[in-house]
Amino acid sequence: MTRWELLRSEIESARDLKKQLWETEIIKLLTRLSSHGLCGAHERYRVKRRSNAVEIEPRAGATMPTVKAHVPAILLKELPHLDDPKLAFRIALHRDGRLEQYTMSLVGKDKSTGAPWYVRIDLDDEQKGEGPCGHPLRHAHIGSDPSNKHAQPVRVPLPWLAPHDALEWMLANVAPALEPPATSPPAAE
Amino acid sequence: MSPLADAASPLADDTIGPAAVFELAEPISIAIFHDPSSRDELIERLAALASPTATKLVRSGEEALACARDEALVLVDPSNPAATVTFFDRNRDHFTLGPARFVLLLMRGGSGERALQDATSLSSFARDASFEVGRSPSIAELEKTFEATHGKSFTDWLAEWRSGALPDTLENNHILSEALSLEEGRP
Repeated sequence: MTRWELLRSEIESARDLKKQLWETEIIKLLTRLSSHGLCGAHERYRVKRRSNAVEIEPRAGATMPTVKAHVPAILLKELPHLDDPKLAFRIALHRDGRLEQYTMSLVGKDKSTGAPWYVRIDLDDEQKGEGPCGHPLRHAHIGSDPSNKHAQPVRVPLPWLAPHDALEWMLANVAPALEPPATSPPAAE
Repeated sequence: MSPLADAASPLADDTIGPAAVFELAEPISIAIFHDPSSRDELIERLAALASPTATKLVRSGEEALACARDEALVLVDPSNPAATVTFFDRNRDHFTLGPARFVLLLMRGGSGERALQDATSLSSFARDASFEVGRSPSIAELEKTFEATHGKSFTDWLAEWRSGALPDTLENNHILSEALSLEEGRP
């Protein structure tokens, strides 16, 4: 088994075994976000579980700038290096609550250059592309927006991360105050 | 029409409604739901919104009143809805003496909602913080909405996606997520 097949197998096993109240964990994270003044207090009320999904309730004025679809997003504020940051996510679930697929993204503009800034993390429902090296089951698109037809897509392989962990990683990159506190001292060397 | 609402002032939905409970710290709220599964999802959601404040789930007015001095969100899922509404109506002021906040969960058209007609003290007091969890659309309705929004059925969209014909964009991954939820929802 190649390293990439092994990585895929690890993610598939975790996805099949882990079952949590994903919506609860995401609401807790958004509560932390609003307590730091990084989004409005009302944004967390828009996160809802509906049958086989966890999604953001659409709201006028808070959608991603997309061509065909209206993707509901949460507007962030007070980020030191990003203008107009928008956070979006959607989680598809199996009937028993296990994860099937998720996509989460944070897009904005670099304050210093005005250049588009883009991070998206996907957990695919099945193997895509030519194989698990070029198209890992769980990956991040960083920097270039793959909706630009002329851009070279980049998929950075990622280990298993639950949806709220993926969001926390994205947010801690742009808002250092969201670095989670250590829960135990590091083990002695 | 629910005694909690009228044509001029309809009941809030479940986005705005819980905000009144948590942001304005209203002591008593009534949440109307349409089916047991939406009640279960609401209980999970309210517990998440209350965190780190503890949540307690009780089945009667008496059990709820025993929690009045606790720092807690008390969700009242009554085993006897009419009697619980009457108890809250008669003892309304006792529920406002401590830090606990109460959400009374009642089914649309059930005996608890009917009992609100005579519970004017409770319904007038709780009205501003009360809300309704909308009826969940059926799978058939969701499929129709998908087709109207994206111009094809979710099965056709999925087939096209799986063939590799659609680009791997942010919006297509959201549409994929919608389509997968519909596929999973089919009997």
